[in-house]
Amino acid sequence: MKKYNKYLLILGLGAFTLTSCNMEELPKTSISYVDGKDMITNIEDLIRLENGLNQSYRVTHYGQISEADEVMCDGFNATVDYGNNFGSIHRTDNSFSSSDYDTRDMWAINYWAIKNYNLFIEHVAKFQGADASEQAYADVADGEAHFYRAASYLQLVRHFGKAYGASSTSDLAVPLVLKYDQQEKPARATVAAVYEQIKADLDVAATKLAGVKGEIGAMTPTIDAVNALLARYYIDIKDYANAATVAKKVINSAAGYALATTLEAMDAEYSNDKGTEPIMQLAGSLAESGATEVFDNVENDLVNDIYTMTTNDKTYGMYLRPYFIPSKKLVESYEATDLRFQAWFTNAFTCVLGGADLTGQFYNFVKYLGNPSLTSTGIPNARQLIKPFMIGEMYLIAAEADFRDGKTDAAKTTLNALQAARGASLTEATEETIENEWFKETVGEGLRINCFKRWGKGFDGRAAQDGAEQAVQSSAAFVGKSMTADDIHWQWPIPAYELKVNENLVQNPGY
Amino acid sequence: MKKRLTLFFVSLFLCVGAALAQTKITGTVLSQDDGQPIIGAAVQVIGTQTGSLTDVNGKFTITLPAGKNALKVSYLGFEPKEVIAKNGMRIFLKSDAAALDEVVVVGYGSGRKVGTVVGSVTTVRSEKLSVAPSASALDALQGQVAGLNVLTSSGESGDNAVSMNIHGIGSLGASSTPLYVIDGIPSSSRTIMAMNPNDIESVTVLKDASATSIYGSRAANGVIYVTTKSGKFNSDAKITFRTQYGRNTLANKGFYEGMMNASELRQFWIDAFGDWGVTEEYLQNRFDKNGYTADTKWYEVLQNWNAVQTQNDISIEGGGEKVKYMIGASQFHQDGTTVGNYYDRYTARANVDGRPKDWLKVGVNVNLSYDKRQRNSNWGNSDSGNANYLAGGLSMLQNPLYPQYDEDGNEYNRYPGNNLWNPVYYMNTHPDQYLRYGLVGNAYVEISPIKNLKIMSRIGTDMYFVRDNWMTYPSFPGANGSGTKGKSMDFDYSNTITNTIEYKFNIANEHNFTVLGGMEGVENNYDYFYARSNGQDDDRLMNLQNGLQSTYAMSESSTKSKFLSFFGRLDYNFQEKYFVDASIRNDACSRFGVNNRNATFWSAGAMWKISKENFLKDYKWVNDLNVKVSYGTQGNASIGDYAAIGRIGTLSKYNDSPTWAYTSPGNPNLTWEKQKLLTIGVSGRLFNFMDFDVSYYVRKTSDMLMGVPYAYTTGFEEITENVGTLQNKGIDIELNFNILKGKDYYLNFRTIFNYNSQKITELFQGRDRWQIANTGVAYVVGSPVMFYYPVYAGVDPADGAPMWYVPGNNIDENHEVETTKDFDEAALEQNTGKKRYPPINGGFSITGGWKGLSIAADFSYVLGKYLINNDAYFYQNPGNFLFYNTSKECADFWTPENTDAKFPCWTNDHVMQFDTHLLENASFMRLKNLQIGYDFPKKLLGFQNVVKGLKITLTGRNLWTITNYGGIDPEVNSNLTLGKIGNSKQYLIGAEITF
Repeated sequence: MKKYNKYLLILGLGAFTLTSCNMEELPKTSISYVDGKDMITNIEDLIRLENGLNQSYRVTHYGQISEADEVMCDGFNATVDYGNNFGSIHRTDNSFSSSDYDTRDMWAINYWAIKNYNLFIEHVAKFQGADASEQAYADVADGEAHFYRAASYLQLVRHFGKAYGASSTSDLAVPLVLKYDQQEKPARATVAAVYEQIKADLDVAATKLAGVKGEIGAMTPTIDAVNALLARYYIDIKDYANAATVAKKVINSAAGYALATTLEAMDAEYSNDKGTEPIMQLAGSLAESGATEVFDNVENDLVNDIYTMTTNDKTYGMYLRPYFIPSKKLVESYEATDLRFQAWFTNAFTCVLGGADLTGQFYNFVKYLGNPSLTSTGIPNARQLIKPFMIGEMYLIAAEADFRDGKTDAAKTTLNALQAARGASLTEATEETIENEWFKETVGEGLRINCFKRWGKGFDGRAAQDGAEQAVQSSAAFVGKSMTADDIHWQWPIPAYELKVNENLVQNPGY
Repeated sequence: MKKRLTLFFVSLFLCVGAALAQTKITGTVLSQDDGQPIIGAAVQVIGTQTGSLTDVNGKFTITLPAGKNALKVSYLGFEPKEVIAKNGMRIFLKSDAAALDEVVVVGYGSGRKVGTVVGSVTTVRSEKLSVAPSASALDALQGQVAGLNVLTSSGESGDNAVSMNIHGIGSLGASSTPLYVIDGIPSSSRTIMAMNPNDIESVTVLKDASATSIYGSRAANGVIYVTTKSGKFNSDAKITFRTQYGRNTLANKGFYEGMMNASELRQFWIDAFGDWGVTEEYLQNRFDKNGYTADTKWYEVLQNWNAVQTQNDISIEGGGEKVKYMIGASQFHQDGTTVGNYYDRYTARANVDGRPKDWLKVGVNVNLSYDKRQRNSNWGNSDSGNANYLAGGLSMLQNPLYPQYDEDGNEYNRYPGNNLWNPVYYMNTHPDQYLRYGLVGNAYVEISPIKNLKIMSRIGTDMYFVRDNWMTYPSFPGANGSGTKGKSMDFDYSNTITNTIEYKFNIANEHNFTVLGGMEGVENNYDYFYARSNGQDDDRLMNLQNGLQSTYAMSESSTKSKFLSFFGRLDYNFQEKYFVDASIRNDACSRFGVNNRNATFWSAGAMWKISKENFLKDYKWVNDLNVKVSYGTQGNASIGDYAAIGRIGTLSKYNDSPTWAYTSPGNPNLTWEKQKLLTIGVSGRLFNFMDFDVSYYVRKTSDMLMGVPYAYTTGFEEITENVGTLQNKGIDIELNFNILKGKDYYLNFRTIFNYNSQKITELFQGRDRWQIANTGVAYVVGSPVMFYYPVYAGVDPADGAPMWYVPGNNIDENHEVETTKDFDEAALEQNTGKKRYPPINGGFSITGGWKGLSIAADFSYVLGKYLINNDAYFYQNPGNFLFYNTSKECADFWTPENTDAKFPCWTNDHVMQFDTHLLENASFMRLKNLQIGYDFPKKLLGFQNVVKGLKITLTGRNLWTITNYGGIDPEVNSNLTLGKIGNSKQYLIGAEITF
């Protein structure tokens, strides 16, 4: 036995070495966290999580988040090369259902961001700063989180609920999730309740961000941004006096937001992202696009590229091959002198569609052609810094609010200020002129659906530009599309997936 | 134990005592294979110098010194044998080859004799693997083993496209891939692809609990055990050189030929879309005026129809008294069916085993591989997902009017009209080459301090580097003078240490025991990074640092997991008639929550060799008859390495500052998926003509590891949890008929069959049904995984509108009564009655030979297979994709004159939808492998003494397919196919020369 005792000993030692080996393996690309523990243990944690909120907010802009709004309405026509991108929502036919991806993304991306806001709000409340300055910093961050949450709920209620009105206390909007809870299956809150929550969050934000002064192109929320969001809130709930007041507060802010009044200034603003119009302009650089996949197959590239799809080859050089081109109505809403028309529309850029060079036959929409400093290839890629709030919208809110409030003169003054800056003829303030100005000023920003809903209006037809017959999808389902004010599709479908997992949700009528 | 050992020594002593006097004896040495005498065999009295050689009749005479009576008989090419001397004895020697054939892998410990294993194991020998034209040996297993379901999901060269499962899908969430083991080291199918199939001696499929439970935590899906060749002790060196050359092409060209040509398409547009203003004049304006009047067969342009394939390998096997070896090297080259796609592989192997001492065995077994491949990523392969690209996966849509050549007959770099890049030009300016260096091997030492006690320690690794260099040259016009360079590096390994101790003994020559104990540790490591830059401005300066600093991008990820296991097994048989075995294994795994890391698995099995019973003695036609039953538990841990851990991760930086968010909620309760497996079987041989093996199994999976869905409103859509139960029941049948057998001819027929019935018995969150969004697939309690989809009801003859059946109140029942013309995917989904996983898999082979000529044909079939043909959504949907090409069948559309049409009226905004018209029956039968060989007669080679054998082979793969499926390839193992490369077929001519 002695002979093999030795081997058994070796074997046993080997076994012992392995038995005592540590079976604990932790990931290296993330920090392990046990649910329920404090997420913020020091100011560094707080700063990084706060910055996570900034990124979460950035992901809720541009890309399909704003494009879907535009192409559902009357400003754009699908081209022969659109490849069924946004096909369902553009045709708004039977294929536009609860299985639609673009509407799902609006829902999913916002709730993903809300989860981050909720966790931060929950944990920052437990944070004890080492000194007063840390505490003050935490307060501001808390205000930012509330501001962001309000912004997400406003996006959601504008798309999934009916416009605010008499029946809002019973109309269903979206679930109000205010605390992270993996097992929760919330029911839909009413439109009124969601707007109340938006106001409550904005009240917190207004208090906590009172000391954060506005500045042109602020990368994080300021008191001006809070007021700009409040202006959207008030115009939605038809509190016109307050809407006009807060919008004007922003217009007259010491930050000095100013409309571009020359082509050079338009170029600085809309090509180079170096203008004076943004109340906020989010961070971005060549290396930092911010594009993020938030859920499996739910991703936002943060570019409004469907209007250009710029590419390059030997035959044509650089050229546009857009999925969508501006409609006749959009193009013809401008006067030739309008700076916006001159800066955002062109028929000079080479445009190839359906394999044919169609340059010069119609106008393309190049507001989001791409910042030259955000492309590494020299080919414009539609990347622009994200501008959640522009001063032009504040003029429109102020004008609309004053007009609805019966203050036609005040409305005219504000409206004319905008028109004068843009090189458009000055008009009286009427429902039509104000609404047209919204169309002209905010095209591409993803506000069109909300405008129609707020106004209680629809559109009748979507004719293609003259000369674009060969460029667009010409069947009636496309160019003949109409939507009445009471079209059920103004209320987007609750995503099919969500209905399946959460039986407490009910679908909007008609889907 | 101690008492028994003493007994053993005592009995030895008694034997010695019996032969104390010096005696002279004679005997005969014969070959066990054919009973012929062995001439020149060495006979030696153990422990002495006394020896003798056999004469021409195999006879020997030897004088035993006093006290010695043990003889050792050895001869080249035969297993040495030790016997107790006895006058007039006949000693049968087994040839080494036969000895090898009769050993069956059982997982840990030494092999077992065929027919003495309780577990259900099926072995596929090297003949089936050696000349198969596929890069992976696993491809040749299709249709070979009952219950082993093999599908090859794409024909891309270098794609590890073979997917396997044994006895159905065992889990709805975790992987159903079997555990691959190469010479004792847990490995992967990708590593098997990096091996020369000719290096493989056998592939053994372990199916039931008796065979698999010893692998514990990873055995729930069965085990595929690969044994590589080794030389033979005391054998002459054998050198084998094989070469094959041939063509590789898409198996189904007919699909592309079913698209319209230019004139058909023009006429179709006018006929179908005249109402939309598509007239001859419109087409002239749109196409002719721009010079688009060609009739280009784009599939000829975008794919390779005559790609080259070559394979060569050489092996040297042999061995002396103390060392045996197998050294081999191989080359494999295959150009893919898509432009730019290729796969090149070089391997070298050394298997060396030694027995330096009677009590010591050592060995090293190493395979080095180097392979490189390039994909054409415009097409989808087995794991790239969908490829809805007009330059590739959806290229059947390319409009034939656009020209390939300019007026001077030169091919465009970019074709006008469709703006498609010339694929050759595109691939040349976008190289993207993966290199993989792999090493898989092990070293072992086995000590036998006393007879029949084996202590073995084995360490092994399966490690590889993968480097990818991808580039866009600045000269590529689309790059606008600004190149792109990316580089990634992946270093992965799985290290294993196994220590076992095994003891075999018998009591009274009737009770045979084998006891095994052991431990195993496994460490898996994955480590990846990439870097990328843009802005390179010269094709010759394509390094990362030649790009602009502002564009530098990089990323890293790494994961690690560990397993630690202890196990034991007891085998017992009585008179080799009644067999019992039992095993137990405890595993710990780092992937699970702290309190749930350990689990114990076990099995018990029994076999009754009825044919050995006296009452069957008179039934001479019963050559062999066994009944087996086994039951046991196994586990599954095939999930991500950190699924149990909640994590705060980083997002995209904001303003160059780090961003954090709670990115994964984790699940501290996460633990093993468990399986219980019962198998009952009967096997045997009758009339010396038919072998049969029939077994019935029940697999029950519980605590399934699944991504459980959560609402987007929670912020996380999926969390891995242990939920639900699943059952697979089925039957395996293997039959083998020796139809003809003569001196110089034979004919065998073999068939295998598996029927598997899957049933979900419990889901998560108390649900009875879960439809997976956008897949058409639903989990329903009480049913197999089913397709739930809107059911297409055809075209209304009255108005040409497409119709769908309105689901009944219970969507779990297929309800085809009322119809609607309003399509709403969510509202129309109902049970289609079609199963996601095909219930029937099988195959049959015919092998025959006459003199030197041999033929083997292997067919495999899958029945009840359904597949959503997403490609057809595009190529049979002209209303949605006007001015793209379309299937010829689309010309059969509704008009007032043609009311009984296949397709709706294409104007009126009728388009085809995602419904059951895309859910096609993808059952198929394939001639998987056809091989014709001719062995040159020895006398033709007799004029020289270098070449010992010469064989010429003709080999074909996937030459013939029978299916009703209308798309490119029915074999795709998925719910849905979109833009994938179809399976390829090969024709090869080859030669095998032995020296």
